[in-house]
Amino acid sequence: METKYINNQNWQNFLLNQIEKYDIFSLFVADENNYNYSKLSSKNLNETVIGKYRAQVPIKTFFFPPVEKIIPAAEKKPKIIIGIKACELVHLRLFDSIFLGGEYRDTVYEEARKNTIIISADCTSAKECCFCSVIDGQPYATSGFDINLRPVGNGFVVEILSEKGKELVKKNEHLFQDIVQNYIIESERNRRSVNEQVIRINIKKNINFTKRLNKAVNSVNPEFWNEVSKECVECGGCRFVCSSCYCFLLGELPDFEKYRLWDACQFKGYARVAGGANPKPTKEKRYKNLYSCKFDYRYTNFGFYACSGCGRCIEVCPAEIDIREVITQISADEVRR
Amino acid sequence: MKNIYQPIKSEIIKVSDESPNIKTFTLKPSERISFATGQFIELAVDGIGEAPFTPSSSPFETETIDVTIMQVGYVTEKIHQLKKGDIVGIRGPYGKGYPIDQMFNKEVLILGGGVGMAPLRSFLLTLINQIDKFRKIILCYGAKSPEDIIYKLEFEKWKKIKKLEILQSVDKCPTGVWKGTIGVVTCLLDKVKVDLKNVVSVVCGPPVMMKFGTKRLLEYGFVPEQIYLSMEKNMSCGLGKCGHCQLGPYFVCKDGPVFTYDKIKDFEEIWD
Ligand SMILES: Cc1cc2nc3c(=O)[nH]c(=O)nc-3n(C[C@H](O)[C@H](O)[C@H](O)COP(=O)(O)OP(=O)(O)OC[C@H]3O[C@@H](n4cnc5c(N)ncnc54)[C@H](O)[C@@H]3O)c2cc1C
Ligand code: SF4
Ligand code: SF4
Ligand code: FES
Repeated sequence: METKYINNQNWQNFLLNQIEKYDIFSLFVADENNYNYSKLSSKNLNETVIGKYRAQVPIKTFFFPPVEKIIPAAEKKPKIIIGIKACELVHLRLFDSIFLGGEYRDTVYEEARKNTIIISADCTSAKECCFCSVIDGQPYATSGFDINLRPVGNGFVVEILSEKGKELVKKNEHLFQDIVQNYIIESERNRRSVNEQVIRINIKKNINFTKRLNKAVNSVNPEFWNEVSKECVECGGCRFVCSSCYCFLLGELPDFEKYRLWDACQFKGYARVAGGANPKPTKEKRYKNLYSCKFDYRYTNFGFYACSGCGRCIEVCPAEIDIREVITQISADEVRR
Repeated sequence: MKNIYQPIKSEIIKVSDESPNIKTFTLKPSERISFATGQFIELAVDGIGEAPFTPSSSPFETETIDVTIMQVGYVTEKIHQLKKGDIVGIRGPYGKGYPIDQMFNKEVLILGGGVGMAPLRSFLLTLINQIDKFRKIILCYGAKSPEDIIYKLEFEKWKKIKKLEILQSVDKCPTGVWKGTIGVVTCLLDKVKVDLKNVVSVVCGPPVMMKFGTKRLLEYGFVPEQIYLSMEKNMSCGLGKCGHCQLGPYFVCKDGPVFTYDKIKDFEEIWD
């Protein structure tokens, strides 16, 4: 991996050079504690937030919109997305495994993915709901990006990983400088400090679970799921906001056109088959399914959890169900047995 | 790059009534589609919806594909209104079919119920096509009443085939016109004799029938590895992407729909 340095002014020039060719999205302030992706223009260039933490809206919306016509599929304009965080890249890894893996490649997703350049950035802070460092991750990316930015001083340490990334940097070579060792040291220090911040947040909340969740999830007492999902109102918010959730329905339009739209295992009709039989008939069964899916089945399929600790489901849940507390309880239950 | 969701237009060239709520549609795809018996297709009614169906014809028939469809809900109701000459869309074939070569030199006990006979017709026709490769084939088929029995004319033909033993039952028959067995299909298993060391069973039907069928086969002495089940789960994409058909870590559309019982027996809700 090649490493360079770019100062803020040059970074803006770099972006200006891309605006013609790409639709560029970057993080901007949404409200007091939140950031979201918006389209970048020469006017709002100064307002982007590269560090901080992840956006409120999940990254999947760029590659797998809530509703999308897939036959005929729309042509995808090349995009650059800036400021993607490590937890989002974990999500993309899962999406790639599902949509590009197996016997069939989902060509609609593939097209969107191919036409997008991913410029990730280290977190410089964490939210109260973040728990990446507790669940096999950390608040900075080590793979899955084209270019990664580590904010330092008046610019960024730039890590260039993929061919796409190399090409883009090469075309603007004059804007980048050789890396200075001090900047690396500074960014490593930042990484350690944010990682510790995440761990501290979670220790304070008594979040502590085993790393072998796959077995534990399926061995707890059915009563447990009744108890945790008691207040769930089945709004599906937690699933829609989760970038690791990929379930969808296909819909038919005249002339054999098709669209697809998000679906979620929390909905009663999700597993219902013709004639009315339903293998996931109750709220508790559906609620358990989501944990089995994330921590057992996808782990069995791909070797990693379908949860990155982004904490979005915690923020959005009107019933105030905290996934961290649930898996902590599952682990405690496993230890007792 | 071919869009994986793009259906192939297919003309309905024949519609046959099988029972009051089951019809067989013979489709002629505009591009040739070849399938292995037990695989399924997604059939789209223009502007209405798609649903999965297993071809009921022999895979050796390559010009046309039969699908036998029971009217149960929204999409199937629209399908039943279609006529000769109408165009439908089909995608597939998807999933893994029956591993026929693993059944060579064995006895094959087929257990079917209701419209579950559709995939089994395709399976049976595949076996009949190479009947010398099997010791013996026993077909146990149950329907609700005599008029719900599908493929009536074909059953007459099949009954004449050597090495093929056919038993039928109906759940109920108030008028007494039925001369065969009355009772659910599992009761036919009391009448068959198989060599447990060298037999497999292939089961397809509604969930309750599969449940009790499997239970009965286990009591009979079959081991889970000898029982092949065609699982029906909610499906949307049919090709392992949309998540709907999950059964434990499996996607029924991609890892099934045919599973041996040992692979799935420990997952909750397999019969629902
Ligand atoms: C592998 C496989 C092979 C099959 N082969 C055959 C075959 O050969 N012959 C045959 O007759 N059948 C077969 N089936 C069953 C067939 O697919 C169903 O009968 C068919 O899908 C019914 O569609 P429908 O729209 O008419 O039924 P409906 O009951 O209207 O709906 C079926 C599906 O639509 C969705 N749905 C409907 N209403 C709602 C709602 N209110 N909320 C949410 N979701 C809803 C559900 O997802 C449900 O699964 C097969 C099924 C599978 C999985
Ligand atoms: S389950 Fe919750 S914490 Fe885990 S990835 Fe999804 S939204 Fe983030
Ligand atoms: S967000 Fe909360 S209430 Fe809504 S479905 Fe998820 S757990 Fe249930
Ligand atoms: S039907 Fe979509 S994953 Fe199986």
